[in-house]
Amino acid sequence: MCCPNGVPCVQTSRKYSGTATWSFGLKCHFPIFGCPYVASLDAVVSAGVSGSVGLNYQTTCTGGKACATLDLGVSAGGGVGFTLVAGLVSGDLQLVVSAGASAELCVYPLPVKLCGSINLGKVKVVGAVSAVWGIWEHSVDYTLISGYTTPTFCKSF
Amino acid sequence: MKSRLVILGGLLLMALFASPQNIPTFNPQPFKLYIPAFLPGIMEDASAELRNDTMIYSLEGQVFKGGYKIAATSAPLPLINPWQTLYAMTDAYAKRNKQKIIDLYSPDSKAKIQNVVNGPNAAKFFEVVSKAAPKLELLAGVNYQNGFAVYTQDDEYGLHENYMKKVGDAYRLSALSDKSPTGWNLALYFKFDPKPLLPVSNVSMPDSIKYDDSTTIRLTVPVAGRWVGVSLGQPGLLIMMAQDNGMNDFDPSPGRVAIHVKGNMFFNPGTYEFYIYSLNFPVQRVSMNFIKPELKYSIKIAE
Repeated sequence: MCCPNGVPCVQTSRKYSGTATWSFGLKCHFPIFGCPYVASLDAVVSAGVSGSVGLNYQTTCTGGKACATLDLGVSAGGGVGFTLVAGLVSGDLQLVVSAGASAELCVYPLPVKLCGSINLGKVKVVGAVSAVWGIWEHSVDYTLISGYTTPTFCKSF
Repeated sequence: MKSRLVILGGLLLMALFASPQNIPTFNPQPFKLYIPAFLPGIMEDASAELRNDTMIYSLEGQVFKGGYKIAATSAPLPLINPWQTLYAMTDAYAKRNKQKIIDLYSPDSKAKIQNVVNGPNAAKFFEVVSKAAPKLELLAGVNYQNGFAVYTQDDEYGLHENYMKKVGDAYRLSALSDKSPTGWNLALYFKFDPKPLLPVSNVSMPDSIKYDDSTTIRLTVPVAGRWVGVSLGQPGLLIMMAQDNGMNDFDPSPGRVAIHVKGNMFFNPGTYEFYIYSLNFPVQRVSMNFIKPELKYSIKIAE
């Protein structure tokens, strides 16, 4: 037994298996203002964590809790192409998102709780903008969102 | 000696008449430009000094605060400085003068402009430039990449950029494939004309809301039309932006802003400190170096 002073107490090592489904979608629709030659562009950027998580692990014991850390898959990205000012200004831009996520599944005490947070890294806009059908072109690579880590969200099963 | 002075005086008089009075004197000087590093679209640029999230550019050129109205002239100009070339271009645009536009370009760029003015996009091109020309204002010009970059704007299409190179004694329009971030960042500066971050006033909101409820924050911006940002203390965590009489503002009175805020924007129940501030450009990121304690507010998000 671990945590002998903890009440109630759980076994040091206990094996669980099964599947948990958890998803958190972070989807933003917002205008991009960072192009000098147009007022704004509408773009969608998305970053999300979803899908099922296979459970096959052994718990560790901390303060009367039985938890395991899981690694989750992350999908993120988006893109925007535009032609404005009657075709004089055009762009081929891609939103590049670096994101990560971590989650912890606690099977004790009940209820079983899956908690996690998303680390939304930098969202960058990369590509090229040109005007007058190529008379001038700018390579583009700038940060749209600096990135942040959300506070922990929880879901009970 | 006397006859020489008469000839010289005559030449000066001819030069005065040949040079339309409305063309500004070309007088490039060294100057510094201070650009907030969180201005939308700003690219990282090693050529700028970065100090407290402000990019400092050391440049040489001319800036026309508030813009200088370009009155196109049909007088032939020798193109001895970028302003003369700009005025000649504006006149050619206004009159849809195809050959004059082509003649203004440098030899290595002529093929490109010929493709535009003679190609399938010619009608669109002339439609835009002839409409923009009468309303064009000169904002600035800077020495850039062995040439000269000129920034102009009109109230319909916004900012325009022209690049010129000196060919012989004349400044000629030229194509530019710009891999450097500097030209882009300068264009953003002239587009937004960034002013200091300022506090908002007359803020009203409840002390507490439920996690699943929403509330309205009402406030006054120091200058009508300004953007408002609501950020948590964590740098970069902007939870709401609005513009006075624009996006996300539910109060139609100029200068007054009403923002709808949901409890779940704060992620979890708890008491939160957050910041409200105003800028004269869209708030997509903000540096905590610019966030002062007097901008701080708090709210309790109840279960």
